[in-house]
Amino acid sequence: MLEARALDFGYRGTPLGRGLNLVVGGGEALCVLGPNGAGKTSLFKTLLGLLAPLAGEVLLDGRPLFGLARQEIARALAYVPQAHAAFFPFTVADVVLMGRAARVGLFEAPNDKDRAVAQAALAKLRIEQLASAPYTQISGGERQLVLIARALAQEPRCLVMDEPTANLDLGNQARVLAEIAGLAAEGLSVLFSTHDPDHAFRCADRVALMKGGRLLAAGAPDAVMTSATLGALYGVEVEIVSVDGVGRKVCASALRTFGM
Amino acid sequence: MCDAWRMSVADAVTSVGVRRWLAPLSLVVLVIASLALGKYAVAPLDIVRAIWAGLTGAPSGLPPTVETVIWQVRLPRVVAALLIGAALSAAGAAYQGLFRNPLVSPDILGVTAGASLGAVLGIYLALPLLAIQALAFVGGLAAVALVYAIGSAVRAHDPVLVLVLAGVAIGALLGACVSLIKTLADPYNQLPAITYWLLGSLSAVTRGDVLSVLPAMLLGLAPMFLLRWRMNLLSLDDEEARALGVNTRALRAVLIAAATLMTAAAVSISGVIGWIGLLTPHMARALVGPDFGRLLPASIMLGGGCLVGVDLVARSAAAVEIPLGVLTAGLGAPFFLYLLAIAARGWR
Repeated sequence: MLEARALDFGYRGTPLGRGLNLVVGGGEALCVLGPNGAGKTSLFKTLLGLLAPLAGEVLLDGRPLFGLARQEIARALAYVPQAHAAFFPFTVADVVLMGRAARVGLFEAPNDKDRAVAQAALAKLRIEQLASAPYTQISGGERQLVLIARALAQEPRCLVMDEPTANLDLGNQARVLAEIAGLAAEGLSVLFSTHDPDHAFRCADRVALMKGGRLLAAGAPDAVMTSATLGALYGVEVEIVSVDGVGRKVCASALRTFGM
Repeated sequence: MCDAWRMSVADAVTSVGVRRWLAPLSLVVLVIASLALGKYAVAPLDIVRAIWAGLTGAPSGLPPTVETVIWQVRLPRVVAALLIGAALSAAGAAYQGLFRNPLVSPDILGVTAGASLGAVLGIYLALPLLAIQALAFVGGLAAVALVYAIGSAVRAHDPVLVLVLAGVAIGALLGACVSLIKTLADPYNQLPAITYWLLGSLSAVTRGDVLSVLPAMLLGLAPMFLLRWRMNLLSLDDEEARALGVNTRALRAVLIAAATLMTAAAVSISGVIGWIGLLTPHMARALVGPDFGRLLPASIMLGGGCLVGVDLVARSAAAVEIPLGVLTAGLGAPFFLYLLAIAARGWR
């Protein structure tokens, strides 16, 4: 469980958010929606303990995050960054093994058990065939799946994913969203952000709408995501319609914008 | 099925097996060639016999002249080349990983500039050789300590980039001091000595020099070896590595200190030898991949072998000794361009 209590976050001199309260419970996928510059990434960094809170606190399984050793945090809390270019051609298996860092001794290398966990993480995401491929030579979608596998190799209880579907094609987006729903169903706390409100309908248990460093609303997608709230969030006209073919609501924006 | 299996085994033998043996093999060949060749040629078989006799303690049955040439003249120089090349290459491999940049060489944080200023100052003040070496060593460490202190004081999103930029600035500043001393130095005695030092040479290196820097080199190597798996994690984005549970700040500080110690120790007895520390880690990465556990030994062997080979050319290609820095750049730059064009895959 990951919790923010009266959290002020941002950088010294430039606070980005104030008084934010948020709880991601076990077995829950929480999606953060918000326009560019809403402070989503900074919030995530603060929740991961990478950025010190300006005020308030972050609790990981009930314990204050700030003050825990990095290693201890990484055993419970994993981060999936946006798929990125790598600097050196490590194999996919090596990249996933890096997820074991918090469970491998300082002077040690991963052992057979670590390899088995990494292998299982690859198998879970059905990308075992990539194991010996250089990370530098696989596609963006595959990289995102590899980074999720690396996070799973940490054997965490909470997962924080910063725009895991950015830069992915339609099929890979669907694959990643299905993994998010599946991981939450297995009991993990999953916190993710996206620029496509549809993704919240597809796999989030709860949605938090964020703008200017504040939460406008939080709750079940059906309750929170209306054309009025999303319109206010993004500053464009938004229609929410039910589509029979996919059996859920979808969100469409009109070309008209209105003043913020 | 069976054919596919056989094919994959054959592939493994040619690609991994041969590649893994290439570095140690070339090292042995270059060492023997370097002991054999020179103004007084010795048969390669006699070298093997002499080394075997030296190892087992049995008499070699070789003429005393040959024994003297091998043990007193050539071996100290070959060992010095091995150690210095290995140290520069190991430091280069570590720095390239630490700074996530394959274009980084061991002098990225100003260690060479600091060592140069120390040595040049020592020569200018007409200090004894040992003091010049000590000044070079201390100058190298002090320059990097200064760069690191500046890098730590500046608050930034990317601490690695700040370090590199601070290194560039301090390096330029120290370079200016070196130039100033050069204009003040006596043009007949001191200036040639300064120029010679700045181009690197092993001609004056003694067994005592080698023994005096060996502890510092080993001290630098130890953390690199012990932290070899964790080193891989430092090549990730800083925040990513921290999220994986790595204390990047402490780890980076230890590894920078280790690589700096090795480089300063090497440069203090040989002068500035460029390119080896930039180039040989690339060759090693192309051979064994980026995993530091395999990259470190491969870099050490290739770096040692390379400098032994280059030093052989330096002392035997012409009537006068060619400065090492001239050769490493003269051979290194074209080879680097070749790698860039042909084997860019190795570091992408």
